[in-house]
Amino acid sequence: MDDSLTELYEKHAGEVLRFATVVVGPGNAEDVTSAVWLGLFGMDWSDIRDPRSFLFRCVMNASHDARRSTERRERREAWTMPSDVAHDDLTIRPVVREALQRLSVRQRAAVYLRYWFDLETDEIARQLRLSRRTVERELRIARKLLEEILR
Amino acid sequence: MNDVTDLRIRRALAEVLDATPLVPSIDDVMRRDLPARMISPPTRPRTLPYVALAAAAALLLAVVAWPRSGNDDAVITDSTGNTDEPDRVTTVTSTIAASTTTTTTTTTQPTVASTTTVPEPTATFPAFAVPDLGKVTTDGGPLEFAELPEGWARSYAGEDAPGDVATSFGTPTAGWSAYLEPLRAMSLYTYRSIQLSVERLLPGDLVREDATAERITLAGRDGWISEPVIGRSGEVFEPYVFASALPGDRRLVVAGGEDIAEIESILDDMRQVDLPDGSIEFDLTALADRYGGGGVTGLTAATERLWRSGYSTPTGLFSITVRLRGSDNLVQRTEPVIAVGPWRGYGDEGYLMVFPTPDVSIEFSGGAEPRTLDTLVALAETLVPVNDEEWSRRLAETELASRPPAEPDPCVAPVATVDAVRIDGVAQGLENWTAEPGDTVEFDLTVPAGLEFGNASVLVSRRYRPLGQLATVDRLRGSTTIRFTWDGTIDGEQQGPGRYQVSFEAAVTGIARPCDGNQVEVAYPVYADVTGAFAIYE
Repeated sequence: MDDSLTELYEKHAGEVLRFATVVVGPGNAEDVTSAVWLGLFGMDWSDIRDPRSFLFRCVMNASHDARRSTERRERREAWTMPSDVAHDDLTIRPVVREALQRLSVRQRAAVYLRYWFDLETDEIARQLRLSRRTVERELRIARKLLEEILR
Repeated sequence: MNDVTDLRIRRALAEVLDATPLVPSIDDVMRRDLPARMISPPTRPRTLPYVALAAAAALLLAVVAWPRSGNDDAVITDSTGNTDEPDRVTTVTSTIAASTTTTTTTTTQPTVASTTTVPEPTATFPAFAVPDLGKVTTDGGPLEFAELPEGWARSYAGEDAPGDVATSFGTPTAGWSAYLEPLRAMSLYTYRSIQLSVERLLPGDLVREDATAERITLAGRDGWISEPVIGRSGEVFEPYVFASALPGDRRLVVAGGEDIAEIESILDDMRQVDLPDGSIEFDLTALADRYGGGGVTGLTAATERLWRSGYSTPTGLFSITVRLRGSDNLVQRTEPVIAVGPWRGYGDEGYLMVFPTPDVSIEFSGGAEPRTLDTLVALAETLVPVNDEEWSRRLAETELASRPPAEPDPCVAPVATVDAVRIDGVAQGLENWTAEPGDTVEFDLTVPAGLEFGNASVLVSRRYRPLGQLATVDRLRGSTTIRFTWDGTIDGEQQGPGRYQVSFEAAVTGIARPCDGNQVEVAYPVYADVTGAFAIYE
């Protein structure tokens, strides 16, 4: 086992999983993060100055991939999976699920960093490698949507 | 500024995070057999320009100076001038970790692996699509109240049928939910909350407070108090907010309260403790006694990040949720067992969970006032089965009774949106568009009715660094087109090929349409929507 990856995993696995939970939902979070960690096996970390930011962006990219295949997969699983697997996020209220469904992957990531970590726009932009203006826009759109649904 | 929406978003996030799967061991991760396609190094996710077809795209990619390699951290970090802040990140991480270790009881099964189990599909779902729910009824229909509790109306009722929603977040669920709402709370923005926070001062905070709030001394604290912002229908968009400087670059904010006197009494009940490490803790025990119930959270974990210590007195939803008990994520508590009619359940003040069968749970929670367990049990015992026809009728009634969607109040939503970007008359997507020096660029902007922007600027930046101003607009109202030509120079200096970001920025200078007599003041600049980036060629 790669010692540096093990160390990184122990340090960041929890927060990466939480980030993925918000971005793709509890049902897909483990798949997405597993894909990320598998992809990082054997990687040289010496050039990565901010592993946390790097990992968050890995999750975002994996989430884009996952999202593209979700519809097909979920249709299949709705018929073939045992019910105790298909309903793994029942603890989340429908209104909350609906709220997050309305957001893009990028918006969910920005919302998480703003409202859970209280990060400022510039810091969110740095973490996600987006422009400040893009983050502002995504947060504004997301907030407006959430405000409508969560009231 | 913290407000009700902030609190609701944070609560929603908390709810989602509570469903976080357990962290598997790294050995388990490495044993997983996932397709290589899911391995995604971090590249900047940008869609290609809509009009950049194959040849143009090749040319664009050849000249655009944008790092796309997987390991781009160091390059971008240097170019943006941002430096990593490991200390701060560590602090934030530890804080969050401490706050999210509560109820991660879910054990999510790997969905990829699970697809290897292929049970016989149900030939047809019953109309309500909750197979096991039929066990608790005589006719296969859902449970419903024989009569709605007095003073309550159904604000939402819905079915969650497996397979009819397929989105990245929404694992199809089976069950139904009915949300009851007090009749007196049917108007918007009646959700009342008092929020206490210790915030780090941001640039401009004090300037803004000087412009929008009055200096005041409350409970021995010097600070600023701002009056509530009232919407057209009398709804409170911003409550009373009191802000007071704390040592260091922090401030204490108390938002909410019926009046200034209530805020002062809250401040009286907050006992400040200065800790040796420079952090500040507030003992909120006295407040807990006063606002007991109704969602008091995190009272003792009140260092630096007090926003999680919000007191909420929601007049909003009382929810009754029926769930198919399917996985381990349903709460595992079983004691103390309470008899609810013929069923068993458990609960506490303001909360009741009933299990009509081992496979089905019915949860009662929320509501305006803390409801006694006895009240909830009595409520649960009024549940009776209804047939599909009756259920359909009630759903239809719910739709008829549902609230109309809120209309955004232009007086408090000073945001313009970019409808389209055109270059030389060709409509482009907003994310990416291309131009050559000398092209005419047009923005279609929509300014909310009733608002007026002045001194608008079209700014350009590269790699997040502002470069300068491309155009100015004296006045913006309604639907506006901004048209300008960029010759590729900024301050007379020719810019090289690359990706540039263009943004629109303006201040609200006036409200063209009176807001039905309510005075709304917007004293600080707001930013309009952002366009994408474009490339210019040499």
